[in-house]
Amino acid sequence: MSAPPHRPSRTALFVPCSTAGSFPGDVDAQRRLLSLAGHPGVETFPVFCCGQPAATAGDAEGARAMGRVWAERAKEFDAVFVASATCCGQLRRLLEAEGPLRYAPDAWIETIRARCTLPRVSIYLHRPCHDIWDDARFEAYRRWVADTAGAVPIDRPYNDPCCGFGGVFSTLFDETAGAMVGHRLKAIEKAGASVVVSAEPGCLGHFAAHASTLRVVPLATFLVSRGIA
Amino acid sequence: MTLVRIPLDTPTRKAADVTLKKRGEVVARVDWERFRDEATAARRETTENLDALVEEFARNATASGMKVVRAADGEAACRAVMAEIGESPEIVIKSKSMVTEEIGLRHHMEKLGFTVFETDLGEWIVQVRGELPAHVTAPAIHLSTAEIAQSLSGALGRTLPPEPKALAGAAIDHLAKPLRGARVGISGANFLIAETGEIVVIENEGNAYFCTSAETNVVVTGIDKVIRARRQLPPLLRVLTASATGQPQTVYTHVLGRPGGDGVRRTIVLVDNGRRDLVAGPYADAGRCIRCGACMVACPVFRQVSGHGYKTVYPGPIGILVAPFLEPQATPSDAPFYSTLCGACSDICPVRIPISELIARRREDLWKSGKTPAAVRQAVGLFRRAQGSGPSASIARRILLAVLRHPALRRGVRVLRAGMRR
Amino acid sequence: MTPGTAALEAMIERLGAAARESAVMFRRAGSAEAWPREGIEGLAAVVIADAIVAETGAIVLFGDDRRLRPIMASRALTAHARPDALVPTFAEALERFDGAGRMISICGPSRTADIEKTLVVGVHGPSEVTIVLHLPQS
Repeated sequence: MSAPPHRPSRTALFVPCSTAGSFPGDVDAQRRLLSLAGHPGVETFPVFCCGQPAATAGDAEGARAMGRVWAERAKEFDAVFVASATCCGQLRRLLEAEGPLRYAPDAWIETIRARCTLPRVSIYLHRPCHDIWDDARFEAYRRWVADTAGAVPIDRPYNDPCCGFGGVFSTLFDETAGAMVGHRLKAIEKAGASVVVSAEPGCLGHFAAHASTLRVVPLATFLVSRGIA
Repeated sequence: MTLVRIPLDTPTRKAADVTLKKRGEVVARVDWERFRDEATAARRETTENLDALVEEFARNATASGMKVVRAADGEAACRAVMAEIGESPEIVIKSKSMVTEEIGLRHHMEKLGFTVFETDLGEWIVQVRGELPAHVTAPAIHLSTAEIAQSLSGALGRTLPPEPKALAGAAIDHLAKPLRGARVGISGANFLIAETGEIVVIENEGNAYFCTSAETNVVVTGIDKVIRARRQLPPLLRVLTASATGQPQTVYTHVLGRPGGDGVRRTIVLVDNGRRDLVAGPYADAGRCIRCGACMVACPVFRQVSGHGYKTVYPGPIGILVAPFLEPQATPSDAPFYSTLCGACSDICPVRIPISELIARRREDLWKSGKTPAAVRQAVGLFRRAQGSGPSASIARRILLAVLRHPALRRGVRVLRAGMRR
Repeated sequence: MTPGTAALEAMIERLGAAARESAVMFRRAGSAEAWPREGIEGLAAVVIADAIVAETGAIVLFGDDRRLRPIMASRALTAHARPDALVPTFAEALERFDGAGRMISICGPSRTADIEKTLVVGVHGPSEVTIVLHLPQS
């Protein structure tokens, strides 16, 4: 979508509520990576939430209303980047046309070719259950993270792709959700990874709330910490 | 849901992993998607033509020489079973049947003075413990060998070693005489073939053979087990067995046809108990279920809490969909939230039931009827307000961010609202 | 045709005596109590298979419900078969079943994995299963 001639091009970064709550520092890292990917000067998208909490609670009407607020503000921008796959998926379902919606990691993978020169670090790269990438795309992303950040991603050391967050699930059943992610963390540690990395803020917040010895770091922050941007 | 297994790896998850691994090996060796397509088509025919197929089955089974009784609900089913058995309490042997758990048959019979031997090892173990089965095909999936040894030792009055072969040996000895001598055997069914009136039972231990060949055999089954044609059976058996136990075939497959002149008097009790309602509404796809339990071994929540966490006879993802129809009194009102909506169940279901999507739909039903748990309604209210503009939106955002920032605060808020739990 | 009780008892007595003289082992199988594990079930059951399923190695028998009991109660089962009994899969075996009595497919020894998914072989059905395929001399 090209900007009408009388308006300068505007891009924005949507900060999901879980990023604002659990990893506010990641916003700056995301901005830096977007700048590196050819999108300097992104504004903060002035909307709080994508509507997932209402959708997964069963309030379909509420989710649509929240999505309409998002869509309305998005009209002011040529591109709105989102780093969360689940938020992106939710918005794609709600918006009639994707319009300016962009999945930030797509932009990063396509453009960023920096290479970390630090000693390699073993990581667990977590994939959300409702990923918007297919397996092949996720594999390409995994290789890109390995090459770019000088990381060795371990294979998932258990048969449960789900971390146990489930949004409303962990709110209602925090002991069970905690036991579930506790099992994941124990297995990850045993498999030799020292960091849990993901672009998915909901899952990551759940890991972080229960981690003791393992570091839990959002993707952008991790890449910046490895000297990429 | 209140049951939480604190140990970080659970017997349930470990047992589920064994099943998944074996299932994977079988799936890799065959044209799995073709069998899945055929099985799905057969089961879709069932849910779309349930009344006609049940009618056809009943007609052909009756013509075969079996007595066919229809039971609208659990109470009628229990009465129908007792009518075949008579009033004098005696020893009854019973093989695996989830429907009999659903209708509380054993409890009903024990109150009337009958001694009921659960002859499936897993079912006997949970009978001894006074528990519901924790999984539809692996009743004792939640237990360690040591726990089983302790329970069986108590039941038999002698100390058994925590060793599977010894424990199975104790079951064999305990059941040898009842299996051979009981005059009444109660069994379930895996499929009913409409075009021939035949009953299909699969098993590995051999106990179901004895139960179905007792002088009086009462088969208790849900009407949803019916399939149209014999031809549909092979792909269904393949996907059921691979999904339930990870075997290419069960040790025993019984196709019960026209009873001969050898003394088996067979009655089949066809139980509705909400199945017709299930296939008539928006959750009809769930009526395709063949009770394999694959959704359970794939479900991250089930793998943590086992079937007992759900409080219903039919647990796990599929249980969330069918329990409201088959056991409405026992179904917790917040059951649709016993899920992270991860979708593993939909992916693994051999008859392609969109389980996760239907669970999400249950949440929508709950919302529309105002029965969503209060904590969730309040949270959604905050998010909706936070999405707007103005001072109340700003306050809502600040509350939400504070809760997100400090998980301990979230727990504190929940403790205050502990009254929402059943 | 089953003889009347008195005539039957007389024949059984003659059979018992003849068996002793001919060194034939003879058991009366009546109630369940007559089938202790060391007695009837210690013996092997031998059958002619109605079908053998090539894909799984299953033995398929057609028969009356209760007449199969001695087979299922035996510790060991051997099925003899000629090549015309061989069928590729379970589906073809099912096609051969005429619907009278029962079709039973026996795929190996009885087993359970109900205890922590540990396989235990030999439960209530035969714990040893053998197939003998008789091929024509070429």
